[in-house]
Amino acid sequence: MKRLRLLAAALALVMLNGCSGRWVYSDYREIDQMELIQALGMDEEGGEIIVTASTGGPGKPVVLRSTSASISRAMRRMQDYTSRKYIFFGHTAHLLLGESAAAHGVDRYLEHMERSVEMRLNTFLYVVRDGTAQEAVSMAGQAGDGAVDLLTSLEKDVQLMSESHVFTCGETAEMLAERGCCLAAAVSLVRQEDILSGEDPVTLAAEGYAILTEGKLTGYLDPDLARGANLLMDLGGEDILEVPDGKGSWAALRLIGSRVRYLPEYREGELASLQIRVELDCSLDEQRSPGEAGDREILEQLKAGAEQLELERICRVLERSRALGADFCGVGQRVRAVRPLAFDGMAASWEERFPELPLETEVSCRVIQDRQEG
Amino acid sequence: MSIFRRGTKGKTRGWHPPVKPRYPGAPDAGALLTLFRDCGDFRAMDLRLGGKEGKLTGTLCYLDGLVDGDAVGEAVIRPLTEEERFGTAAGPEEAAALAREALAWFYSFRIRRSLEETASDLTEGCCALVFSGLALTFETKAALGRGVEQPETEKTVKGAKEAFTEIYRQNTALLRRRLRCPELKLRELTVGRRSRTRVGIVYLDGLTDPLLGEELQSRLERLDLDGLMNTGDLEEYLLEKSSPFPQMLATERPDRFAMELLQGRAGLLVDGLPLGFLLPATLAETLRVPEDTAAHYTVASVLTLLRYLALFLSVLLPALYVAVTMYHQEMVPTRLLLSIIQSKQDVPFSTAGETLGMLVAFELLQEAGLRLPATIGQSVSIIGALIVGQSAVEAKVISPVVVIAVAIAGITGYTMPNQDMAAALRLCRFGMVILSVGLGLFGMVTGSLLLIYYLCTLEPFGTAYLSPFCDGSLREVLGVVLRLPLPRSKNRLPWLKPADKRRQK
Repeated sequence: MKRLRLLAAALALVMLNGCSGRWVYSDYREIDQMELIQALGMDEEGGEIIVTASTGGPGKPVVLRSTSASISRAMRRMQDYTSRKYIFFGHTAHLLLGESAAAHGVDRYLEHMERSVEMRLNTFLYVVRDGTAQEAVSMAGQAGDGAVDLLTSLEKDVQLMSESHVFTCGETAEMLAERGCCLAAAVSLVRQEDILSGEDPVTLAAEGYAILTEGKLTGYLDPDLARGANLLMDLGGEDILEVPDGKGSWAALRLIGSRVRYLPEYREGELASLQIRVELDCSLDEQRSPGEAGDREILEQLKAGAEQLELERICRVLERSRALGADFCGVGQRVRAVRPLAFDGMAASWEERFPELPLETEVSCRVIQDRQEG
Repeated sequence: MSIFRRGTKGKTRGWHPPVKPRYPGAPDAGALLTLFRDCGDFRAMDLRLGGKEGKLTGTLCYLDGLVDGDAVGEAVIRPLTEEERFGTAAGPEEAAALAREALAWFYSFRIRRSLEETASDLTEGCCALVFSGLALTFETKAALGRGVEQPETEKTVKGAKEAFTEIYRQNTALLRRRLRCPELKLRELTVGRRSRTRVGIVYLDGLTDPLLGEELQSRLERLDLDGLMNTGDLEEYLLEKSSPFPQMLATERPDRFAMELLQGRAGLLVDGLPLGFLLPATLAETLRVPEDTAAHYTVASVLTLLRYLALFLSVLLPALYVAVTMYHQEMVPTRLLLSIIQSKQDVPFSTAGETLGMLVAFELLQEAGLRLPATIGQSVSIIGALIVGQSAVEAKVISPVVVIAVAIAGITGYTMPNQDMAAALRLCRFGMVILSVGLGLFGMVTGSLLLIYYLCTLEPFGTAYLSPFCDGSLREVLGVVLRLPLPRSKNRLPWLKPADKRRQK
């Protein structure tokens, strides 16, 4: 009896696997018969979706292209082109959207990522500035390791140099759902001279941020402004600030840390103004006049220079944001975090209020001198 | 008429009625000669008590080889024939009375009035002076077997270097030397109709659960088998449910045996087996080694945790490999998957085939290494590893990742302190891989659940096999997966239900 019960329990577990109607074993595929797609490009042209897929890893990458009215169909067609191997999208790490596709709206692509059983929401999202995703995926890194390796290193580099920040599809979808607008990493195809080979292969470079409003591409933030946006979003990252030292020369400050504080002021329950305080930590990396190192006056000049530089960037980003009527840096969310109950009363009208809200931005800088004594 | 007899299985079940006494009647030289007919080692000689002047004649019987010749001559024949007072004995009863008075000559002698007892004493190494209707048996056992040696399988760096031997009495002495208290009880029974094996139930009075000792005795008394020769005989007959998982701990170290008795376990010592058996065993206990208490508690804790990790890896790693590479490729990090794909290129077998094949090859190699003498066994292992591990990979017969997965599972299996546990894990490993081949991770998880369910059903001598994981508090669980500092482990293991719960102030 006990054995029967055990058998029944085991059978029930097997029945509950959601694979009724066919054997689970039929889903089995040998790994050496799989082609792992790691970068996917989407373009929209004449109402049709052009999907370009690229493998990564060792060896020459395989690039496939397919066109259809739907994303799913276009992706499915790729399988028909390569009967020998199974095209597996489960390891797609990078999703590139062509400018046309982003202008039509990123929602359908994000929704596909969400619904697909194979693809993951932690796939990095890029918008190709002034170009198409198929060009980016197929042409980038032709002489090298392919688009996948370029994008993988680019994703790390942009965060290191504060040129932008690569958000995932899941983060982008979340930001769009919460505030209706957001930023997405922008890349462009550039020719880069290779000193060793003498060739000038096409590669991918960071181009700041693409601004997505209501899910559609509405503009870009150049890399310089992207650094200001990063400070507002508290994304950190390193940067090299070249500032005048007040003695007719220049010094290089390395931005090693930053913090932002949003201080809203409420009067009679209404948000009256907003103060944004940004604190920078910099180290003095390079100075043209070594004899003057440690001079208090020079240090003050450098601090003032760095503060001025970053203040300008931040103000330009805020101006752009207010002009578009899109809080793509998520200022509203940060203000809400300070006093949620007070903010919730005016959350619905935040989009209208944000462009008119009196803002006071303040940047303070601390310079650390790592000079060895003696 | 069919040559196959139908229904005999049901009819013969239970047909092995014990015949008591096996050898009826009173002791008698003629009866003994008949009983030991065709026994080349049986010796019988007539002996006149008290020398030529003696009135009484008896027959001295013994089994050559089992008795110590010097002891028979000096401690039995000489006093009986040279001591004049034995010559005065007119009958067997008087001779017995005189022998009782002359105890200084015989350190152990018994008066037997049944043929059964006399025969039993003879087979145990006694010599018997047989009269008509009465026999005097003298303890003249020869020191057979080896001396106390170092443990073979339970090596120790800091612990005692003595191991149990095949001689029962030597083992009890080794134990007595460690627990010098009269509370150490030793109930002795004879098991096996023909082997007449002496079995001792060892426990500490006032500490071990009294029900445990009684239950053990009653089960041993109920045993009715021809012979008790192997460890397996004892386990399979004594336990409620036979299982590949060890429910009795076997140790060759008397210090460990004593340590476990102090925890509240009962022990069994069997004549002819160089092992002591402890029960009940739990899963947690099979992952412990006596060295744990010799090492610092931090080191012992980390090593115990490693053993638990090894347990999971040993059972699940090949199954996990099969499941993720066959069904759940998205779970593997991309770079690792690419590496696996590259290593799998041009391998003609499927993942399932090569993993199962590799597991079988691994077991075959292991068996070959075990069955052969140590020096040849080592060569077989090396040749096998070279052929399977290197040549097969180079010839693209199997992928290196499979070799790695199976080898890790095998090596982690070797870290199990209990070899029975390691063997059980080997079986489970096969089961898990087969389930993973059919159902992927779902199969592996189902298999794990069924395994846990099965382990939950094991209750050796009323103790849950998964104690304290299934019924203990968090502190008790931590107490077994980590080694607490000894001054802080004040209580004995509660699931053993010791009569005395505390072991130190």
